[in-house]
Amino acid sequence: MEQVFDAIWQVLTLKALGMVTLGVFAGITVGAIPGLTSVMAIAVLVPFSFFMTPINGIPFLLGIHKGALFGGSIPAILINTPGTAAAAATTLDGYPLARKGEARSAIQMALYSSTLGDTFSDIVLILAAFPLAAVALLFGPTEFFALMVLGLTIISAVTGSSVLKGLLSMLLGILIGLVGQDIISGSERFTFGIANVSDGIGIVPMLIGLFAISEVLIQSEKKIVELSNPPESSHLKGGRSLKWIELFQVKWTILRSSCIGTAIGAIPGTGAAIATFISYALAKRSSKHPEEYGKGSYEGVAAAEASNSAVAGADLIPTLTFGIPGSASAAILMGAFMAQGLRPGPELFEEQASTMYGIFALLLIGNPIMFLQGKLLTGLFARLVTIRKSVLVPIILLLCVVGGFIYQNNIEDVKLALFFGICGYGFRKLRFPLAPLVIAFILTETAEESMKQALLLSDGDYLVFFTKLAGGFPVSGFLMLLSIFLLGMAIWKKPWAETE
Amino acid sequence: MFKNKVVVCLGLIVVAVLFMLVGQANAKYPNRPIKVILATGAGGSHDMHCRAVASVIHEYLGQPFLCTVRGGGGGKIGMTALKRSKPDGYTIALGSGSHFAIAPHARNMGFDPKTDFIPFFQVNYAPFLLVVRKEKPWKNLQDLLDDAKKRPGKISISSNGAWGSSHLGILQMMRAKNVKFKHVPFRGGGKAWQAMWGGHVDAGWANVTTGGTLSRVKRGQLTLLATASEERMKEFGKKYPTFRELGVDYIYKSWRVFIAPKGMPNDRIEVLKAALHKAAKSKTLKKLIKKFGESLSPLSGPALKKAYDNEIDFYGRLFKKMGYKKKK
Repeated sequence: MEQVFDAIWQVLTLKALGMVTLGVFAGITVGAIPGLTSVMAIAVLVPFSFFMTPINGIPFLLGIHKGALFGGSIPAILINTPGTAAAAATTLDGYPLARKGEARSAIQMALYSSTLGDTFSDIVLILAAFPLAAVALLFGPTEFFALMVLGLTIISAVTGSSVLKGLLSMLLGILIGLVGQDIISGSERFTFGIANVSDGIGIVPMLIGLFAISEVLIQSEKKIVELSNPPESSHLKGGRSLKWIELFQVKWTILRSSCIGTAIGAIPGTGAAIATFISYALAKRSSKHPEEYGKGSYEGVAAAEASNSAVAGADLIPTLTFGIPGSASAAILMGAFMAQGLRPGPELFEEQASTMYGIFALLLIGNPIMFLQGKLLTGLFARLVTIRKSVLVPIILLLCVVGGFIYQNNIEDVKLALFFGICGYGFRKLRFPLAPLVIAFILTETAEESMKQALLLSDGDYLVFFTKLAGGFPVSGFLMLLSIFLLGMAIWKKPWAETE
Repeated sequence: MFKNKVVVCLGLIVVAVLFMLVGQANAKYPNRPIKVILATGAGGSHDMHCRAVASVIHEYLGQPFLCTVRGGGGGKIGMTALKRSKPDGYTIALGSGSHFAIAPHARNMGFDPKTDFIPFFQVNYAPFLLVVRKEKPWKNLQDLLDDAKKRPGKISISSNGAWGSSHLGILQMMRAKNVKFKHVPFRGGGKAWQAMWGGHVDAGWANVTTGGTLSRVKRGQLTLLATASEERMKEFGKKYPTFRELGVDYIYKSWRVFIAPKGMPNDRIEVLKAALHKAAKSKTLKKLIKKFGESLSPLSGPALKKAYDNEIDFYGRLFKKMGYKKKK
């Protein structure tokens, strides 16, 4: 214990705190610019950390990681453009809120839930990294497939008013997710010879297209006079502040999402986007006001944001304990740890304990720092909704094109974004829900490859998904039964009887 | 009045900067940053090596390296970008063996590695290692092969992708020893390693840094069966045999080699080569690479070109022997 306090005392230097602050600020900025990802930002800044002490350099990079997951919610709420894939679920309720003139309170809800979710997962990381990592190791191909099936069944919660359209949207998502290389044979399918999609369709250009460019197209239908007037809600100056009671009302949602985000984040190969959608759908399913979801529900924003930020800490669990990064940003962070001589594995916590506890302390301190920065910036950002559409819409389009390009420095991605923009416009005109498509797309890659791997290992026996024991536990069987149960519940509730 | 002065000052600064830029344009090569294309993903070992080199190179070159990730298409996108770039010495790539030596035989990549690119500096390489968890019954490669003979198609080995570098290792073992393994491909070496470490497959591939393999072997958590290197590896005290010693003709070194596009002037290549050789001697870079768990092995000139061509031919023969038909 003494060691821990010593470590904390040692790190509370102004310089270390300054580095965290700088990192969080950079992260929020990067997250808020569509197309710029924390992966890129961390990759560019890693070399600077080589020449700092671990206690200054690592927390700086962790700050970026943290900040970006909150920053992504800002354009998601304000202009329907998810800054990162993890913020896609935030657009579903955040943007309707902003249109109602409640941008400020929506961003605040995102900020509060992000901070809480992140803090939760940081604490879990510090207290239970090793037990959780052992659980994560139980996940092999069979278990991954069962987890993805669970994810697919919860789509039933977000189908919207027409179940049929929801299912169709999901099937389209699966179809788009199948584009690219077949993992087992290595051959390409559904690529039509387009080099850019030979590895699958890039998620960022797709999201920019589906959500943001389609919105630009919808706006462009309007008359010029209408667009040149200040928006109806502009007199609200970005809206009111969030009331504490509103945060209190969603406490269980935030806790649930934090748990899901942490659990899924700890399993390498899943990621924030999957965690976010699963949390969002489960929150809607257990909500007292599911009808508000998709039309501007604070609970929906909280569910999505708490969950994606909870991934930030949990990501580091597999990264630091057995050297398998939980996500792309964690992969780069692992490089930075290694460059400091902090090699992942059990020995890291034995030999470098004081440095590690110092880094963890700064990781925790990063949360209130993010909270304060977010508080200060929110008012500024929220003003964006008072800009008249004739100015804002072209700016959004420009951001989309630039964002599509800088994602991989690839002009082909811009074409992809424009293509999906037109698709998204069609979907919205025909009132097809976008969420099932996006969730199915995100899940398909892992679902397909893990199913094929599991069947290879079981010599083609499909029962393996129910019978396989991982470390003595029927993990896969449990997840499959849970999926069947949830699906049964959904059918029992007769979703097709719902009307708008 | 004050405002005017500020404006005049700003104007002067702008003019001064412009003059500096013009002055630089007339200076000798290199007078602006050099873009290094990475055809792999962000955060991989190539990315880390590039950034490690970039963190010191400006001291020896006078200009920085800008590591630019252009992943996707199994290396096709980044490598094609290099091929199409202007060969003026301001665009190079940090190449990987799987992109220049393996992928062109498996699929249509849109480039010919021998004629479209000039390899000019090898930073280092990391040979593949075949490992199993310590609870598994096999203590060396012979045990594994014998068991595979008894139970054909029952022992599973993960790989980093179909027709990729480690799949070829499995195929070579099967061909040379007339045995059958269950090959389970994953998307990338990290995920394949994870499946092995979690006990979901029997054996897997790693290089010394994957999942802390070096220390796990030394601590006895993993059993190292064979290394895909030319000689026994000194990182492990030359204790473990190579595949070749055991009669399996398989060598795969995850290369980190700087590659220029065809037509880049020789004097410019020489400038980069000289700077890289100096950088490779710097204490800072040595220390950084050592912290990754690896070491530097600089190589350039005809020796490198020969090794590069050999590697391409080696895999060409391998694909031919397997009767593989190249995919469009």
